[in-house]
Amino acid sequence: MIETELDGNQEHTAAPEGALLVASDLHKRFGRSTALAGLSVEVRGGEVVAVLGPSGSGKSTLLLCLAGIIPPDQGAVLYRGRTLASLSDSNLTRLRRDEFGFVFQFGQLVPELTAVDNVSLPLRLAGLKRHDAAVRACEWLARLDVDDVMDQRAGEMSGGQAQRIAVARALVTGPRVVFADEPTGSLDSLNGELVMNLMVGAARDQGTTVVLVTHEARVAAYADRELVVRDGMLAEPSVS
Amino acid sequence: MRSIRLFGLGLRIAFTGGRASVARMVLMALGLAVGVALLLGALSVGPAVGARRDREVARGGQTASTGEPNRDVTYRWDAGTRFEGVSIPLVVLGGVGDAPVPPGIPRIPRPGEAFVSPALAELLAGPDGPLLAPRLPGSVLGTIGDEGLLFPGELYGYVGAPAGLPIERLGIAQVSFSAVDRPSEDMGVFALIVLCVLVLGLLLPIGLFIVTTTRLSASTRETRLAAVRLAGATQSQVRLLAAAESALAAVVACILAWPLFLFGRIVVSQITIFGYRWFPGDFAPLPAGVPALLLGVPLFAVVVTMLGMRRLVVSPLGIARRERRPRRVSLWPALLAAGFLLLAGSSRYPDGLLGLPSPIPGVILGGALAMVLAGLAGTVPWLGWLGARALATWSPTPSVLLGSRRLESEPTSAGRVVAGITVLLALVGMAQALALSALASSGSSYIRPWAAELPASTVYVSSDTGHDRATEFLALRSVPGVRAVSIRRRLPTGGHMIEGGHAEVRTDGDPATLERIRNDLVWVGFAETLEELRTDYGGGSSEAVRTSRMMNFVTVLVLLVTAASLLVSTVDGMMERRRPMAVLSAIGVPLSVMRRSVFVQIALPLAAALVLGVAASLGVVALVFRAVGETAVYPMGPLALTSVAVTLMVFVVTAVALPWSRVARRPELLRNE
Repeated sequence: MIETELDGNQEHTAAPEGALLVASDLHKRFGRSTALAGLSVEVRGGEVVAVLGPSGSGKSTLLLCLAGIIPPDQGAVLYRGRTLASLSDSNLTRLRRDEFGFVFQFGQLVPELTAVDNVSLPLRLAGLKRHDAAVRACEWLARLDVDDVMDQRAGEMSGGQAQRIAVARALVTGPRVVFADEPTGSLDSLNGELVMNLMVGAARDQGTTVVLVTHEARVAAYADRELVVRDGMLAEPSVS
Repeated sequence: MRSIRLFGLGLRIAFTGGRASVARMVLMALGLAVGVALLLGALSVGPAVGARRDREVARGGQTASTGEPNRDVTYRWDAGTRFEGVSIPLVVLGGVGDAPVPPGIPRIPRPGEAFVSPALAELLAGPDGPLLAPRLPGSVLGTIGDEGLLFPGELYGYVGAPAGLPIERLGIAQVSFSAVDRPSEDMGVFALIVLCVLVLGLLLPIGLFIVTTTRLSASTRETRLAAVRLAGATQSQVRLLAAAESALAAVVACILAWPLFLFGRIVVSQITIFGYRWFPGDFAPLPAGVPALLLGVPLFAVVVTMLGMRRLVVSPLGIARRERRPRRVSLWPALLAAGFLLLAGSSRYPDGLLGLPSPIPGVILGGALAMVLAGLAGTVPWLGWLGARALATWSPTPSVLLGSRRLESEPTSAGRVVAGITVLLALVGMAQALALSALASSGSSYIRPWAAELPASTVYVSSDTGHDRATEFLALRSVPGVRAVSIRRRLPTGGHMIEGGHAEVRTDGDPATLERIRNDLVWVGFAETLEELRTDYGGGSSEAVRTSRMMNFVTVLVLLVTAASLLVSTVDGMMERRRPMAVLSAIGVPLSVMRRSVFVQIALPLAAALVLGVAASLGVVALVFRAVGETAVYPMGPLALTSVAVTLMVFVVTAVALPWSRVARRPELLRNE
């Protein structure tokens, strides 16, 4: 894992024992629509958490708030006891690069980069040399069985291949947390299963926490715990 | 009929597609309007030059034939002077009988009277007026009307011939002052090349700007229209819908372009561009060009849109663009090489080329130049793409990786900009070489090198008629600020000079002293020029200076248009890639890396453009000069200056566009809800 040195002057708050991510009383509005309405949640290190809920319930917004991509209007997100809001933009960027990994619904690979470029990009941003980064990227591509498309661009590969490359990109830096927003939403059931097996399997291998947004019960079944979000709030107590 | 209905549907979609759709169309219309206004300006350059020539011809009028009885004529003597470094033509007039009157004044001024231009009247009324006034003896009766001036703000004056002198001594007898049709002079090969070069230099970047504007937000529009395709429209129907939107924007642009053009020509009339100014009314587009433009621009916009949509592939899984990567082997360098070969052949047998009947040599050279320019415009983006491919595999930093891969994947936008830059450099080189060559072969006065070596405080004065003016020159000792006067009888180089016709006047170095010397000399020799020399003989060929200035003007204009194209394509490129940029931001790519990658995308093709543009320019100059039997003059200074200006422009414009990258990477775009 690539450790990020966070600001010395940031806010530290006591987090519950074993909690890696703590969100408390999150509120977020986009124009007139409310995405989050006072949602609180805790995620422990190494667990796989599925966030379920109907479309427009605020699942993606919760994920983006937890990852420090969108700041909440009210409330706070603590990561390892540190408030994300107190981090500067550059420290947040570094935190996302070094300690978080992301998988989105459509893979969201950088379209003009090859598969190996996409996977090695976070490593190179962290300071690894081109060759070393490429070697590690190739290892991950082989592990996820997509090394045959390493020199192809996103537009030249299938959705399942693109999604597996996105998983490789998310895991290559050895992050503490992987945030996955509908990772199988654009895949057929076979490919969806393959991607989930690979992602959750690899995450468990290296003790990575996974926060998974989905509306599919079969995807949520990979999780240790399920959270149901409705109208921007947790609909029921979390189930272990 | 169905096509017309579909076209109408396209127009409705453009208007009812929400705020974003209307905003995009307005933006496109505004961009196109700027392009059309520039085209109107380009169409007005010829008429403006013609109007200026008509004014010159009217003011020059017709002179009496030799031996013709001098009845009803106006005698004139052009007594030019300089004041504070600016040339002021003063024309001395004397009428006989029903004397013809120059345009802009009501009658011939009598002795002691003068008509001056408004700018000269203002200068005379200003703080420095008293220093100039002695050169306009008598009273100023009024100002010269616009029809008697070449450009607004011209310093010009008509002075009545002094009383008691035989006015026939003024020299030139005018029988009329009116614009008469002069037979058009046969254009030389060089002039033809310069004209082709200027027209191409102006039209190419404007055309590229229009293409850039027409493709504004193209992928957003295409995504929306592709949804119509999925709803059952055929490929050609979707194209027609897109074409309707572009045509509408182009029609609106043609309407908006007129006030822009009219405003632009007022602005242009207020400023001096490399020594030239025009009256706003002189900028009138060619009558035949206007309808062609009004029809051609919407048609052009439609064609560009429809061609751009050729690569849109709609499948049940979504919308994709067929990637059109440049081929590893391109035909553009072959065209470039063919152009150079034709030039090389012409330069190897210059006698054969010049021996051919007109206009064949011009056509051969013009054709070769057109091949070179087209080859350059196609080769540079291809070279940039090759460079990007090579750099991407090496990619020393993430920003270079992102920039080079982006350029490799989508070389068209940057390619359009650098193609314009390369052609500009080639044109600058050719035109400035022609100007420098003409300058080098002119102004070889035997006095010039000597006068140029005099210290700044020493003024060299001479008479142009060969009269002995030693007495008048020695009298300059009484002028305040003059230290000494020595009559020159022999050149330092040993050559003989006119007895008493030249003198060196040592002064205190105060510019006002020079003006007082000019005041003393201007009316001493009637119909004779007694002037200080340094500024008068230093000019060289006016045609060469004009070519050089015109090329400077074209360069600045092309740079501005290219800057606009670059700004539009850079901002549009970032806004079109909002989602990938938001993803990059999410996975921890700092904004600074994204911004540097934007620079890489333009720096690489720019480097190719500068190297190839300068090399091609020098190559063309060498071959063309050899072909026409002249010694080549290499315009290293103008080329270096233009290269620096282009580089600065590119980086400044890219820097100006960078704030949009912060907008483009907004994380809200990653929400699926």
